[in-house]
Amino acid sequence: MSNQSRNGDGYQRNPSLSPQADGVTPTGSASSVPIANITQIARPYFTSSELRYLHNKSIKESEKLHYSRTKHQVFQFCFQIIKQLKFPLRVLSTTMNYYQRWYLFNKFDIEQHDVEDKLTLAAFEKDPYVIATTCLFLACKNEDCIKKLKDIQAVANKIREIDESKYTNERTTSSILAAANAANNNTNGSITTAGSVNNAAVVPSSSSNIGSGIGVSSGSSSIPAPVYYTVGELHRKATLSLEFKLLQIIKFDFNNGGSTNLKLTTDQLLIQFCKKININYKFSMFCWLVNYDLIPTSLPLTVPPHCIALAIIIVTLNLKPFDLKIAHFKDVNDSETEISEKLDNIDSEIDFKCPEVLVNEAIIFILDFYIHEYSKSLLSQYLPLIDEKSGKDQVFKFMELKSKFNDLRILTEKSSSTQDLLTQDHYLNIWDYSIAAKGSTRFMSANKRRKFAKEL
Amino acid sequence: MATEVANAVSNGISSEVKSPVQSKYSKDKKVGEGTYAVVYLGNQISTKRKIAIKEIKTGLFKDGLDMSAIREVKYLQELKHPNVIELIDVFSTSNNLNLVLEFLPCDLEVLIKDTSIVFKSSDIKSWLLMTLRGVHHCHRNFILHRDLKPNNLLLAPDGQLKIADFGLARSLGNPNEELSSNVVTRWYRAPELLFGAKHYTVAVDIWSVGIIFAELMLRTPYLPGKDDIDQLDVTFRALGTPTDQIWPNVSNLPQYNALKIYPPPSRQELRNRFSAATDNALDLLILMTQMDPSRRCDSTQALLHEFFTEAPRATDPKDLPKKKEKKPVNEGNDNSNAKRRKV
Repeated sequence: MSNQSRNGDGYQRNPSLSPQADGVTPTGSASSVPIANITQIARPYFTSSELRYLHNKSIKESEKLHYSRTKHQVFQFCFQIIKQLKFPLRVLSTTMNYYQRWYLFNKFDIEQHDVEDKLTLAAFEKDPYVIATTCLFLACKNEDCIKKLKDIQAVANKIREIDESKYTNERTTSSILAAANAANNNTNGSITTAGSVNNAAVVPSSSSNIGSGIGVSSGSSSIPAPVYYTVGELHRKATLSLEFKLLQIIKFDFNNGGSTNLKLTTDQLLIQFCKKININYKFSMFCWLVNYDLIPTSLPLTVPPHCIALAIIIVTLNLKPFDLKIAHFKDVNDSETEISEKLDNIDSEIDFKCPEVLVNEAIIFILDFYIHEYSKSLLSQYLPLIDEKSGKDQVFKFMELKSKFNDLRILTEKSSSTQDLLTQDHYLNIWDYSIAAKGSTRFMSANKRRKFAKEL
Repeated sequence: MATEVANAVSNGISSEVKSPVQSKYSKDKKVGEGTYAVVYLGNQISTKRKIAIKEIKTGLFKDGLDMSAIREVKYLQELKHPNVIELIDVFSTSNNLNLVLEFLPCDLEVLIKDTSIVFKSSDIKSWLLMTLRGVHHCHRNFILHRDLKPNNLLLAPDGQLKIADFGLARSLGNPNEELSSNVVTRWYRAPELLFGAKHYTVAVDIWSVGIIFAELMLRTPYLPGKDDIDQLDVTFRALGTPTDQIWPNVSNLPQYNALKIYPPPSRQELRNRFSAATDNALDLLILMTQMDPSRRCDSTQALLHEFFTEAPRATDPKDLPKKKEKKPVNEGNDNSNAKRRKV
């Protein structure tokens, strides 16, 4: 299918019908206006060069650092929500996958995202935290952990210490809401009258500097006061609008490229693989920690979960982390020979259906990750500062291992090897939501999984 | 979806298009409206194939895209089988999500209720066989349907039976995860669900198939409980109250209390109830309606059951009884169906 398009994964558009063309030719008769028509095929995995290319488009060079810092905070934030709502870890994985995917096709815009200053719908829709809550909301639907948006939002805003009942700068349009709001205002008013005059609670307190007097009139009982959304209401509105956008970004592919039986997340697969290879408790725990550290990285966007899981195990068996600090469980350490035997017996293609290249790609990624970010990782909290055997910093273990793996064959995709090819790939553009509004977008699952599942 | 040709992006210039509907499909008439979707009939322009378009309203409700829409896309995208409804296409227009589904004009419930149609035992065998094949395909992909009932078993013009409505489906996740027991339309709900079990397996679907099998033979719902409490009573009156002897630890399930103890039915009693059933048919029915889910057969065992190899041979789908006169179609419109069911 779709082999006419370059790469074999289709971004197709009839040039004469492109939405831009639509825009400049406002022909008279509405019936003959061509309808923009785009076929979007889900691409669950990108190559690292594609990711770099996309990030160059969506994130300004000067904001790269800010982006990764925000991503880390968002990850902590989502983890808190998931912990409070008692969701399984896979919801977190999916959330972070969506969140990162979002910023491949949407601009990371920090100029306006300060919610405190600008309480408008547009600002809300650019706020990374609102985007993260939306990702989490869709992720828990997709992972079958259903919670009402209201509840998720309440937990999220409580963590961020945001008062949902505060008023924003966005005026309501719906009359029902307006009426409800008005009623609210009245009660508020009646309470505050006793105290002071100006707190009629119609205008958000912070708006005094920007609001420039829209309805600041205090006790205007005669003129119907303009009504505003509360933070909670606006958050909800933004989430719902973002959800539909997010669905377009993930191309309505709820299986993330895998088939339903492949859709297991890395943590689930890790447990199964560890059991199969007969990895002991301590090493399994090490694997688990590595997996947690990898959730907010871009690895899940490049390599499918089963290959990541296997790569984690291979790294673990090579590192032999006997000194992992776990208090609650003691088991007998395997001998060095047992470990290397296990390592030798792993056949990624036959036993685990993981293409060698993808596993290698993941191994290198994991080692690079720890070489650069070891101090910030969760893993570092469970390992002693200095490695007992070598008497050096733990990071050296990762570096040493990487030098051993220097000649591993990793993923090279001809389709994305040069800048030229990347620019030709229209799929890698900032996604234009108006296409779907003007015409229609057709969504299809990917055939990219051929990359790791030959039988399909 | 490995279904349609992606290259067939049509030229888009279609004179009759009024709304931004993709010009590959025509939306001819509205056939139903549920809380979250509107269903239209139409044609796939290139092939003249009849299709149903389920237009899902998004963003209108307080919780965004409906869970059942997500499930429908998620699971149907992966399943392709002659006995599972085909999801042909997914596309979005302005604020709507459109699912293009195979058009299926009739469902099994309509036939069961039409007393002018006579079911031969070979017809029942054929329908049951097709249902089990579809269910087997779902189960081997680790998908629970969780809402099997006659009006979700749709019939194609060529007689093929297709399982539809994956709005409650889910994949079998971690064994330690809690699942909701509030699934499956009441009359087809397995005893573990009635007891409020938080962990269950594909056996809940098998139970539903068993009850549908009984309904096909009886031509009337087998266990029509008036409410959830009554459902327990009706179920156990027909099939005996489960005790810890026949179903270890059943009494620990949340809703297992104050039960009236009915003895399990004797073979003769079942034979009297299902007078037309052969011994093999009764055996299969008993296997599929075992109280203890771990004793219930799975789809493989059911498909390999002797019932399907003994005479008469299952009717060829194209020779199965069909609805005679044309009636408005309810394809995919779960909500109106659900209401009709309850009345």
